[in-house]
Amino acid sequence: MEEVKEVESKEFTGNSVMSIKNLSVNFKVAEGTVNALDRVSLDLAYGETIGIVGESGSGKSTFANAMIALLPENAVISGDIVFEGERLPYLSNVGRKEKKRDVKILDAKLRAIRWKEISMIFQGAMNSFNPAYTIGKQLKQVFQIHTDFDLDQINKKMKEVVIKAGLNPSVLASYPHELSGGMKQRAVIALALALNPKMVIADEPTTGLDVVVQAKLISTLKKLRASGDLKSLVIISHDLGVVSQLADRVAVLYAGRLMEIGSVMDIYLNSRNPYTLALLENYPSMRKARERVLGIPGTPPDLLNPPKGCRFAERCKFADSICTQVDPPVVQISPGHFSACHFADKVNVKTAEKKYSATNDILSSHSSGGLPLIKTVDLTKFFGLRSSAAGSIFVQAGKKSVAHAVEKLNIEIKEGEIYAIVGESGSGKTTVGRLLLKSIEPTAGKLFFNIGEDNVLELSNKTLSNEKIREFRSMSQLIMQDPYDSLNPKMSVFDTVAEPIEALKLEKDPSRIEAMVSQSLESAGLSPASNYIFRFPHELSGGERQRVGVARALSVPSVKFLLADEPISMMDISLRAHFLNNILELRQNRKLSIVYITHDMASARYVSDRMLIMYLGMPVEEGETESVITNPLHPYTKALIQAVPEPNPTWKPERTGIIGEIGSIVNVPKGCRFYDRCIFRKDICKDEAPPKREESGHWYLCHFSQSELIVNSPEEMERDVTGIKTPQGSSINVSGR
Amino acid sequence: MYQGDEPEELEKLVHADARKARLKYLLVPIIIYSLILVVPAPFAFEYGFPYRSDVPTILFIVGVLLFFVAAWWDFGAKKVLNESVRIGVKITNDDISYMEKQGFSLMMMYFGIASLFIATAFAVFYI
Ligand SMILES: Nc1ncnc2c1ncn2[C@@H]1O[C@H](COP(=O)(O)OP(=O)(O)OP(=O)(O)O)[C@@H](O)[C@H]1O
Ligand code: SF4
Ligand code: SF4
Ligand SMILES: [Mg+2]
Repeated sequence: MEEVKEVESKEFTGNSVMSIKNLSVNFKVAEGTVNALDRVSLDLAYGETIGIVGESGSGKSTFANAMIALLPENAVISGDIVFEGERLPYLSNVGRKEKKRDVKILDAKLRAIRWKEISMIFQGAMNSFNPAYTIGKQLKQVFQIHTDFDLDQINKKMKEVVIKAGLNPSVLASYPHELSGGMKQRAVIALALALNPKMVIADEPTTGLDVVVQAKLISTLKKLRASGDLKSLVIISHDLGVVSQLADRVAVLYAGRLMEIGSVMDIYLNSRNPYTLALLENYPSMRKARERVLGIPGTPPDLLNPPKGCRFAERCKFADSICTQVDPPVVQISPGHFSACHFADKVNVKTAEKKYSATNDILSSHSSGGLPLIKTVDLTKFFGLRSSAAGSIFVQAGKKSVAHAVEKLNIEIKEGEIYAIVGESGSGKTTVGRLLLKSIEPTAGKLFFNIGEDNVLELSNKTLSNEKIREFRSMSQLIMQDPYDSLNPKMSVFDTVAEPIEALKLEKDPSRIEAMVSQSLESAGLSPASNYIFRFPHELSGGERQRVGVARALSVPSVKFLLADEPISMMDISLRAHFLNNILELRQNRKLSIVYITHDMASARYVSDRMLIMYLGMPVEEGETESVITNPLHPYTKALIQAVPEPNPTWKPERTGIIGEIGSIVNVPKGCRFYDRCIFRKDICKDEAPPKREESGHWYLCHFSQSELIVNSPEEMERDVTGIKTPQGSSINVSGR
Repeated sequence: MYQGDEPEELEKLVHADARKARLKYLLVPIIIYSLILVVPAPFAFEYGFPYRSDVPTILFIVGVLLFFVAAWWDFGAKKVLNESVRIGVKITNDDISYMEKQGFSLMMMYFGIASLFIATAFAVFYI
């Protein structure tokens, strides 16, 4: 990376807030040394935003932590990090045995830099608020420790930063658990802005948030950049779409090495590096429609023994024998645009498309003429506080205490069909899933399941015999949510996969069980099964863990119905592609019906035949997937589609076409559920429940036809942007009702 | 119901529900009370069970226990709170003081029943 260093330091002399030269980070672990970062150089100019992208494990967080000298003790660092002309103190002392007093001085110096000069939004920070204190108290502490403001000044400042972050000052009085994910993340941003730092590092600031919330957060961050409240920003994300929206320049990391760096236009529209191009090619974007996405084959290298030559060689479609022998040179493409690749002159968007297009078949739309497998009639689930004796004593009479989790759901899922249920968190998707699996009983309505030969069970019937219920259970399975949390670390692959067989007492003979387990492992794509059967989760990669989760759902041979609840929300692009293709194959090979629950429109479009959009417990639109996506009718669907990020700097998400954040299912609006957030609403929507309407081959729930949906006034439109002037019931209303 | 509002007529039903629930809470100690009084009676008549000395002792002990139960038990208020967090029902300070009031009145009722136990114990013993 020598060349990058030289050219860049020339470009930014004098005006870089931070300059990193040849930074390497090695973690000492029992098995050896993990080379997490390898000679990375980067300059950050005043007022600039730099994005850092890469797959999981590429070293993004390590890089960020190095920038504020917060690496764990087992880290060995070499290279320079210069902040405002001064080396970050601890780097120069690495390796020397230090006296306690020296360490203390160093620490004090660093603490002053952190927060005041550089502040960091840690990965997952929104979950690290202390639940016992109000947001205000936690923010106050920052000021008390780092400034000598008096209480009045602090209060004034606190209000200021909270408003800047797009929150109503009343959140200061609320406890973390009272805030939604999006609001908590805004509170984190307020914390980061508190001391007006010169530089902010944000590690995955939007990961784990719903698309709509994410789009709003991005536009807030953009505004903060424009107003100068955010000075220099380092934004780290595995989501290329998010970074493309915010960054001026982008650095692509892979296995601890800088693969490419350049302006956002250079990277997204004119990349000259195979890894960047592979990331872009596999991004689950709305525009790609149903082109098959294969993911990047293989897995990142083991950083305990990094391979010789280019670290991407094993997975690179352009690789040649030289790549595995010689480190790639850093080639300058244009001023400020560098790519570390032997073939940087040959690789570009066009040649990459050719390489990938061999695999780019369009997924055929699956027409399912199958019989209905599942049918619901007005299926409804309320959760009520008053359902217990204690509840009816302790809950006040006038209090709204019923959560309308799912209301009047009428769907039909056919054999061999993939049916997507899409909505933000809080829309009732998971409750639908639990109802369909009969893990909770409906409050009202009916649920039917066809167990074959036109033998239809009414699952909502409370007098159903245990035998019949068992029969249903042997036909329906759940794919567990996230491959990192869902597997029990103490259970071997065999035990995990065999669990449903044992739970349903389908088989006693151990050799038969083993055969069933092997078969399901192979149909989930883990072959030969004998390689995996006795491993434990920590010996598996993320993708393999995900497959074990699928295999577990398939181990019962009579399975006809699979439910996958947000299965890919924690995965990066390669894993998601594998998983989604796996689902498609299963449907093909085993004629399974699959209900795919997600908040991610792009993946729903990729796999599903039909989709249902839910908002606050209400189904609001349903139809053939392509029809819904290309011609969304309900205002909510339109907004959801608009909020899906595009990996393209020219994409403009300022207008999300939706107001505020999702409301509460306890205090639902009387007329249209979407009333509080709709930019098209009229008076009639407030009190009257909207009817179903048919247009372009599918239905939606609204008072108005498409030609009648007109935005009321410019101010109405404004409300969706500011995020502060939200109506009753949403983000302002936090400290009680 | 489906419109998400709980109509005013429901209010009365809710109050009736609360009364019924309170009765459920009180029924348990009252049943225990009657059992202690009634069950030993046939034994006293048939086999000479020392009713006058033993039943008051039992009543007294259970009565004291009941005092403790009433003082320490929250009557399920905590569970309701947890449940409301899970469902997403916001709890205000007003709700909390209502819960405390309800908890307090249940406790007083339990104290009353416990006193009844002890009073009966003395009555049976001395009369
Ligand atoms: N304290 C540590 N000890 C040993 N190895 C570590 C330590 N911290 C990180 N690593 C390793 O360093 C590499 C880079 O990790 P890092 O957390 O920087 O990745 P990342 O790009 O932020 O990934 P993600 O997108 O999953 O957050 C990984 O291989 C990781 O296992
Ligand atoms: S150097 Fe070779 S392996 Fe590495 S990215 Fe370039 S072509 Fe691929
Ligand atoms: S009924 Fe009214 S509030 Fe509801 S979606 Fe249609 S226009 Fe919006
Ligand atoms: Mg990270």
